[in-house]
Amino acid sequence: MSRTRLWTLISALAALVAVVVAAVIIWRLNTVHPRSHTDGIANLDQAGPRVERYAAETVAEIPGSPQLHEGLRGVNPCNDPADHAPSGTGELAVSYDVQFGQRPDGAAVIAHLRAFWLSKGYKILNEHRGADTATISIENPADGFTLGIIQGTTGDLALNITSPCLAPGNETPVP
Amino acid sequence: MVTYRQLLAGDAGPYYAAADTWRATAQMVRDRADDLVAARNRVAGVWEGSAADAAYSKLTALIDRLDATHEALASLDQILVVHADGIKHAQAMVHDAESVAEGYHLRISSDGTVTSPDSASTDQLHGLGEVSGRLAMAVQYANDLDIRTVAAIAALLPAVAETMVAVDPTTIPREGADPRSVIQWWNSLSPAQQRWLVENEPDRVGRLDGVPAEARDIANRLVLERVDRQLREQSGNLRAQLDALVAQGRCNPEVYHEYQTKIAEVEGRLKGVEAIERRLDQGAGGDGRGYLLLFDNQGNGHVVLATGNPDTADNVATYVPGTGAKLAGVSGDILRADLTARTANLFDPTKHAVGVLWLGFDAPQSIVPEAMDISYAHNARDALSRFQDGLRITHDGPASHNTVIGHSYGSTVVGVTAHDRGIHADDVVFVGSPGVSVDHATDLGLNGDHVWSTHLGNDPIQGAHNVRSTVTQSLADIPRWGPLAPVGIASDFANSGDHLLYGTNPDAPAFGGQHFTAQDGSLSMHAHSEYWNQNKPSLTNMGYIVAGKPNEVERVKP
Repeated sequence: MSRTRLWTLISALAALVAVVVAAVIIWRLNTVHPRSHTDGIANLDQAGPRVERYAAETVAEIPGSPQLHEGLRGVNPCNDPADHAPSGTGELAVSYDVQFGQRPDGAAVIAHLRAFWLSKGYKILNEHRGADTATISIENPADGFTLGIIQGTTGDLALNITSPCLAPGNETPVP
Repeated sequence: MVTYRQLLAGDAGPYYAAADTWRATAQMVRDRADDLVAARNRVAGVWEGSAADAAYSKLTALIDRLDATHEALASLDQILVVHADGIKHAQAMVHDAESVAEGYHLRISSDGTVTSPDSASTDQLHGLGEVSGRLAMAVQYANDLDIRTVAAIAALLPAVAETMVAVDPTTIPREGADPRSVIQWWNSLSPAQQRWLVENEPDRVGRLDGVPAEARDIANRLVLERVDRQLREQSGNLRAQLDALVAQGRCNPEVYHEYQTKIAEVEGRLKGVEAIERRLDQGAGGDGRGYLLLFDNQGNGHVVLATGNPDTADNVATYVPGTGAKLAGVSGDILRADLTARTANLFDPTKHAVGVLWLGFDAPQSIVPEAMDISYAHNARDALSRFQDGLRITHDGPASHNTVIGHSYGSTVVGVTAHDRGIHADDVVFVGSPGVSVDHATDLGLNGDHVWSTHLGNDPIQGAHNVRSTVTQSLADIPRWGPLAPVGIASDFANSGDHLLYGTNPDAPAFGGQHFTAQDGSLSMHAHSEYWNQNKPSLTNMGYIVAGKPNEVERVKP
């Protein structure tokens, strides 16, 4: 066997081993079950009251005594075939219109909530200030819930709350 | 004549509530018509003679009248929801003007008069004109809306009184006909003929691109209702058969498993139907009345559902889902269309954005082998291209800003469609793409400024390399690397990120599109599903694109 052919054979074998190892790693990563650090929230049924709690806590903190009006609620699936998450898993997504008696100062509301959220140990995920719009979003590392504010061109505000990926209904995920 | 004060005091709620009532009434009328059809058919089997013929004719005429009434009442539901949406839109225009006034330190009085301080600057005087103009436009919009609503309701009255006029079914354009010829044909019909078609040929009319969304919606709701009944019947029959087999002791494990599989398939589809029904019934919540633009139970089940009327929207976002999409799981895909539209509407409440779930094709149901096969995209391209054409053709007023969003394999569908058939879109967005069948944005027939793409960190789809070309490259490199060949092969795989399964990564600078920020996906591996998380930049950036605010999109710095 020539030296070149030998190297080719060794290399091909090494490549095969590398591909198998990579595949095993990817498979392991892909079969991890829904987030386990959710502070006692194991499924979508339990996520609802937690969302309400975040909503109440946030609106109470906003100056001007606004009211929340639910504009959207649903379960955003997180079980795409590429992710291999268990069937039926999803994030509970709720979006509220924040309604004031008078026009709010959006920038002041966002600054106020930012300070409030940081004081509670939440982590800033993203902040963006455009020409006439703004967004801020945070995550509570303790349970993986995220909260965000969107300010539109008219100054109107919306509060978005999303749970982490959770087991369906009242199921308890397999550890 | 609507005044500024009336506009501000306007409440959309009662209109949504009235629409709900009329929708329920329409359903009741439809149910009674179905009961009469059943009764007529039962009698026809046992009663003969001239009196029986006369009774049959009378009953048939009554059924036709009820069908016509159903169509009119369903239209009334649409009209009232559009009116309620319009009130909110006009009020958002006022809020927008208030926001501008605030910037100039101007005051708006309760009758809508705009005033500046005594010592107004040139800038403030300019602002005064701008704010007054915006308020006038809002009031004008409200007045136009009022006139349109009154005219639409008045036009319904004859529908209740008149008999529908039958149309020769052979004159209906075939499925797949050019939307331009379809709308010409549709407009050549009288309202009485159009109503007859919707009530009597809903399967054919409901799926024709080029027929206005309002008519398609009513037709497809009828199809949905029928499929709902069929699926419930199938499920009941299968369960009864299984119970009988078990009771007779004729059910071995194989037969039991076979029945359970069939039941799960039927009930999965039923779950999808129920999700569609829930979304269509929604409206009073103010999220916009749903419009069903296509529905059938063939293949994996096909659904095109809009979160509002695309024919009257300012911004329309068509969302094409990827691997695994099917009728049974349609609930989540509908939510994604809603989240996209809502985000755009939050950013710009003065424009009305509508999201459309386009599941007008059979998506692959597995990563391997089905998503490895480009034929699913080839099978979808004609229908998607035609649908986008239809959106343009049936749109009322100025053209809407249309965006097409493809997720995962859906992005490949969008790419193949744009390249092979052309796509009527102002912007296209690829999220979590395994490649879009071309290597450069301009190959899609669009300017690279309007081709957007992103991947979340940790999204496993980025591992969807074009393995064949990478392996070929690696083998060719072996002699060059010699003893270090394993290192070379690893390097080739590591550097193959720009070569995905279906072409150059649309994020890559070489692709020539706009790469926008997303976020790191979860390490717990559902990153490929996370593009519609409402608190992460992938969705907010899509919202900006759909709202026609490209300058607000956060781009990845090269």
